[in-house]
Amino acid sequence: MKPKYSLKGALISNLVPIVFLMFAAFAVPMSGLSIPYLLHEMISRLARDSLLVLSLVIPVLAGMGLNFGMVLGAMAGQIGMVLVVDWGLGGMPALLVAALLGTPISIGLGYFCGYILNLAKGREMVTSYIIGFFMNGAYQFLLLYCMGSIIPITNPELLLSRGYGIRNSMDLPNIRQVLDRLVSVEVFGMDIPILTFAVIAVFCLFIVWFKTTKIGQDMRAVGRNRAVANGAGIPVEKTRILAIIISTLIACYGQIVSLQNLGTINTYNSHEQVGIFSIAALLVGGATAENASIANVFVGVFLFHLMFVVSPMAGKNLIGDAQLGEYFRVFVSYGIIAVSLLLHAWKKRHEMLERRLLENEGKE
Amino acid sequence: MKKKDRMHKGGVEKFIANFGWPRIIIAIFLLLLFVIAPFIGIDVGTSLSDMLVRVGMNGILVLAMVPMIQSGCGLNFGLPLGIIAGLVGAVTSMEQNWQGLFGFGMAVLFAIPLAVLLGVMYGYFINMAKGDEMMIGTYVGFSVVAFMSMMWLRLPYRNPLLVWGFSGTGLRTTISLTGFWMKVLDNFLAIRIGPRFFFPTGSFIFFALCCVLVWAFFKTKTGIAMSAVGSNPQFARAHGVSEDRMRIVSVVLSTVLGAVGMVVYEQSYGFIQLYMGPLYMAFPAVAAILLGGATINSATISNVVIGTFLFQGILTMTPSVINGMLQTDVAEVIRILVSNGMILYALTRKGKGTVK
Amino acid sequence: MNVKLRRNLLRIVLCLIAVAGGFLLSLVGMYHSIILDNSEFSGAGAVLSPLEGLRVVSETEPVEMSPGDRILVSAKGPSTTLVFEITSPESQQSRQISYTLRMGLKKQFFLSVPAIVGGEKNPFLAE
Repeated sequence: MKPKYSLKGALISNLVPIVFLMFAAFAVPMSGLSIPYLLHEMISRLARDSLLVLSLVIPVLAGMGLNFGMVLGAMAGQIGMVLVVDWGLGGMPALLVAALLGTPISIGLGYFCGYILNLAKGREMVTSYIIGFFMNGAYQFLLLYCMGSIIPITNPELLLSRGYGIRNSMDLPNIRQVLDRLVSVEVFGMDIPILTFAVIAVFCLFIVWFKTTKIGQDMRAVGRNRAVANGAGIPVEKTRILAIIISTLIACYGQIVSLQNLGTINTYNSHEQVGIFSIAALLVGGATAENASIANVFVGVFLFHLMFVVSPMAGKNLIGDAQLGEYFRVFVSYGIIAVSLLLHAWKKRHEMLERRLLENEGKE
Repeated sequence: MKKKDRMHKGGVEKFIANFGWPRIIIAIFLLLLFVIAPFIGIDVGTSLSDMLVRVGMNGILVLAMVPMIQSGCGLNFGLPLGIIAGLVGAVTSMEQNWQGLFGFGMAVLFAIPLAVLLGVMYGYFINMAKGDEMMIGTYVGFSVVAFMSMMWLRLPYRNPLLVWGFSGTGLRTTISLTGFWMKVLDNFLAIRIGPRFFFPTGSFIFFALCCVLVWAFFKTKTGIAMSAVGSNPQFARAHGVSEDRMRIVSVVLSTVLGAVGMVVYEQSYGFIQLYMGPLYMAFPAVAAILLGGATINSATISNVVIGTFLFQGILTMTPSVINGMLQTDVAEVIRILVSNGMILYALTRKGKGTVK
Repeated sequence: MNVKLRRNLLRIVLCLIAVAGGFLLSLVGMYHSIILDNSEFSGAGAVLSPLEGLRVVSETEPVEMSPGDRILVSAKGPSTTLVFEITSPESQQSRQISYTLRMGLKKQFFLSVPAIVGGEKNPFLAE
């Protein structure tokens, strides 16, 4: 029997975005920020971060939960950018070369991550979380000690004062907003980076197309039930690793897009927050560890960044302390994930109990 | 208990199989570091003392992992909750200007009720999140740390040594314990041999006491029920044990131990770090107990002791030795790689609770 | 064997294309620093004095250079053309000289303007 479409059902399944929409409706006027400003900010952030969040969709399809290992892709992209800056490249070619450099690194890291996740079946999310931290150590080792010593860096401006190791932050004057400005349309006084959105759209189309291919269907089967998929002859382990590799690649390109928008690389900080914020955004958009759609990505990025921009000002106006507003923003970011995970867990139990009740009724 | 029987029966082979190759490698590595140290100009006595002090400092925080592992709730990434309770207790005790062992004791006393409260709330969340406890623990922990960061700015503490000078309100980010109860446990009955060796007797006594208490607890009816819930829930339920209730008790116990452990940590470290300080403090404790041989489902006191010794040993010795050899400061990177590497290793082992 | 061989061959070809593409992109996208010097040039034989009324007009905004001046010019791509305009102070007549510099993948260049204008074969300064 097909369950009837009910308002209650729609509300419950989209609980998280609705909660945050209400929160936003409350906080936006409280922050005192103008709507045009917010709109402009949101468009800019959508262009910047959507690709990163998009990378999370495929692993969810394969039943591997929320891939915190996307930071490995972000690291690969960053290494690409650092090298490109060192070589003195600029403009679109710089982004393309960075992507070319980041690709093999991402594939390697993605394979590593996928391999470990296969060893930790059932605990993918925590494991990918720790892999992210672990790789951060390796990344720091590479950039803080190897670069400038074992790996030659020709541009001394990039190095720390001690002679080796990459600086904490560097500006990207020749790369800043290159993709954004290449094709941009002015609407109501706001510059809309059309090409960036086109690139994002291409990746969205890729994901949609991918889901229709045999490998995509295999992935979905693996995500639903590993044992059944295995029985049907699908190479479960390889499929899962492929899912992570694709995710890492998209994250790599996403980080490059994000960096060109920002115009600055925070060598040791950019990628740490990327995982947390992207996953928070995806969850706000209504995704769960088992189900994530492209719509979740865009709704999530919009709502999450709205919260992010609005919270400090709202906190300041409500309580009168800007510092408090800053902590409030952090609280909201982490709280979102906690609340989403809890709500989802509660929902799962609720559904399981209902199903058990129905089964018992059926037996009678 | 079973491990000891097997050791008597087998020999070196069985010992290695039980102990696990990673731990053996790390133990040998640690020994190697101690052997190399004098040749690089690092004083073994000082290093040993450092290591011992750090064991006393961190031991109880590692111990706090045991209850939740035993009850099947996984690794307690929500340790920051207990840590926050410890911080509140410490700050409250300092507000009253209580000093010495008395101040320390009052800090612990104040921390425990809050830890129980937070533990009950956290336990309720854990029960909602069966299967995903570690993730939810992490983010509940983070959220509470962020929430408390807001609170530290506003709570009515007035002691001039604790709050910012200008405004008179809002606690400082780092508060020094000098003049209060810095190192009271460490120095209690401490043994000093020569100018360089220092054994923090007090801390070790306290640590041993807590270990004995926890060990004894797991011999009681409640303790056995808790372990049963973790290893064989069907069996436990059949005997009338409420799984949910036992899990909440284990969470409360973990949180309380975390609070006490945090106060011990502070007295040894000498500083109280508020705001975002506690954010990542669960990770070293998790790594330590895993290094000691625990799995996601089972942990013993020996895991705690061995793990803390090995982990703190590596953390103390590796940076100084490598710094001495290569003239660079790789301490941070080593810490990240070792602690997270250990956690990864444990997560990828096939244990009782893994899905095939 | 056939399928495997073909697949690996394809992969190698793709890698080569990627590397070649990277190379081309680097060529097109590289930013070079060109330092133009208007001091006395003593190269192979001739000694050329610094120029009066010198302007570099190939930049987005023309830059004036007095004798002894040095300016930094940024250029992108495999080659660039510099146009100098020299206005003789007495006759107020100006002439323009173009100079095409092939930069390739090198990042820094140090040129002497008097040498370029004077038609020297090697207007590069050491440093």
